[in-house]
Order: sequence, then structure tokens, then C-alpha cells
Amino acid sequence: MSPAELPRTEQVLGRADLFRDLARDDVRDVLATGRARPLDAGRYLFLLGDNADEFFVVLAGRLDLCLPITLHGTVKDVRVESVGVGQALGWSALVRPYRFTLSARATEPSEVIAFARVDLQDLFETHPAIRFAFLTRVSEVVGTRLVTFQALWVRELQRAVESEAQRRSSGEAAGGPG
Amino acid sequence: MEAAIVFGLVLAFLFGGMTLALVMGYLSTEEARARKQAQRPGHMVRAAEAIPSFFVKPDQGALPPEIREFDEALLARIESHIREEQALVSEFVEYPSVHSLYRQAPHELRAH
Repeated sequence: MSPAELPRTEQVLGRADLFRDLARDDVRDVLATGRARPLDAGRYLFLLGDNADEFFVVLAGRLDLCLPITLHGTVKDVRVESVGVGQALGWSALVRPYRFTLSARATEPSEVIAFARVDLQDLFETHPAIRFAFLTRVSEVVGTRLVTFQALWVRELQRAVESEAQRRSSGEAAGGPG
Repeated sequence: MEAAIVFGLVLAFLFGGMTLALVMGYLSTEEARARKQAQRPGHMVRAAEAIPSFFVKPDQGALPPEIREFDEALLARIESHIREEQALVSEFVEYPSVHSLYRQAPHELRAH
């Protein structure tokens, strides 16, 4: 990111969760490795299955994280999460096998800061404190996603169990005794 | 005189040995680095590039309008269901408990 862009980015992202535990100079060091990327409304930032080489933070606008669902033989994207200014996306870039597990699409004209994994790794090598604080926050993002999907999955499983139990009991009632 | 020659030979032998040891050490370090580099994820990613992306662009033109409308309505219901469910499980994310996990949804998603 160019020095001219830094103050605005710092102002917007300095208070973001991801940078919460970082000193001001450390935030500047991290942001200096990023590159601003504008996105038109409806444009995809990445697709499920793509190589994940970059991690992103939303600087302006809003993006939907989507999962594909097949309807009548065509694949459509279902929004599962929405991320706005200061929120991070694309943690797959920091975790093997480095492939995106969702697609990200801008719902309005947006701008993200892209951090290349290699640049972050270089920075982490020389700044262990930044690595610890940054990866702790990323772990929270990953953990929240994991627990959310775990809860959504177990609720659907519970519904399936209840539905099956109800089906069996109504079948037994219709069959009558004997 | 002979002692000086012997001393020179010993020095040459020692210097040669040290140089050889340094060269061998450098070569083995380079080999180890190359092996480590080959195992780095970047290589795995390049190998994985052959795997096609899961995403497929929908072909809207091939479907009759009534089916497209039905699909759009179903999609909207699924998204609404996911939003409601996420709102319900957000409490579980902050305060995990059986109660917060099985909070009742206002609308159930039914396929029939």
C-alpha cells in the first residue's frame, strides 16, 4: 500500500477487531504489506475451490460469503454470512490446504485490503508480537465460524431426528395395534 | 629447512581440510533447504491447481421462467432460514449451552 493511502486505511481499520491488540506502529507495518482492491457490486473476490494466497479486510462496502447449492441442475450461491467494514475474510489463505471454502461476492461497490500470505509470513518472521496478536484474532474468526456451523448442523440433525420419530409414531398410529 | 616444508605441508593439509569441510557443509545445507522448499505449501498449491474450481456459472437461459421464479423464491427462503438460524445460534457462539443451542426458530424451513 502506498504511503499516501495509509492514513485513510489506518483511520478506518485501526479500530478493527483484527488489529485490536496491535500497537499503532505494528498496525502500520501490517497495513504497509496490504494492497487496496476495489470491487464493483456483484463482482466475486474469490470462488470456492480457488487457491487462497491472500487474506482480506473490508475497507468499504459489504461482501457476502456464499455456498453453492444446486437447483434444477444449475448452481446458485446462497449467502451464509455477510461481512462489512473492518471485518476479515479469506482466512483459508493462512491455513492449509490454502483453498477457499466459500465464495465471496461484493453486494455493493466495495474495497478490500489484500494481504498476500508470503508478505505476512515475512513480516511475522521479523515481528513475533505481530504474529501472535494477528493470528490470535484470526483464530477467533475461524473459531466463530466453526462453532456457528457446528450449531447450525446439530440443529438440523436434531430436526431430522424429531421428524423421523414423528414419522414413525404417526405410522404406528395409522397401522393400529396388532 | 625440512621442518619448514613439513610445517608447510601440514598447514596446506589443514587449510585444505577446513575448506573441504566448509564446502561440504554448505552443499548439505543447500540440499536440506531445497528439500524443505519442495515440501512447502506453495508447491502443494501449484500441484493442486489442476483441481477444477467447484463453482459453476448458472445457465439461467435454459430454464423456463416459472421454474426460475420458483428457484428464486426457494433461494430467498433458504437465505432467510439461514439468517434466522444464525441469529438464533449467535447466543450459543457467545454462551454455549444446551438451551442456547436448541432455541426454537420462529419459522421452520419446509420443502413441502
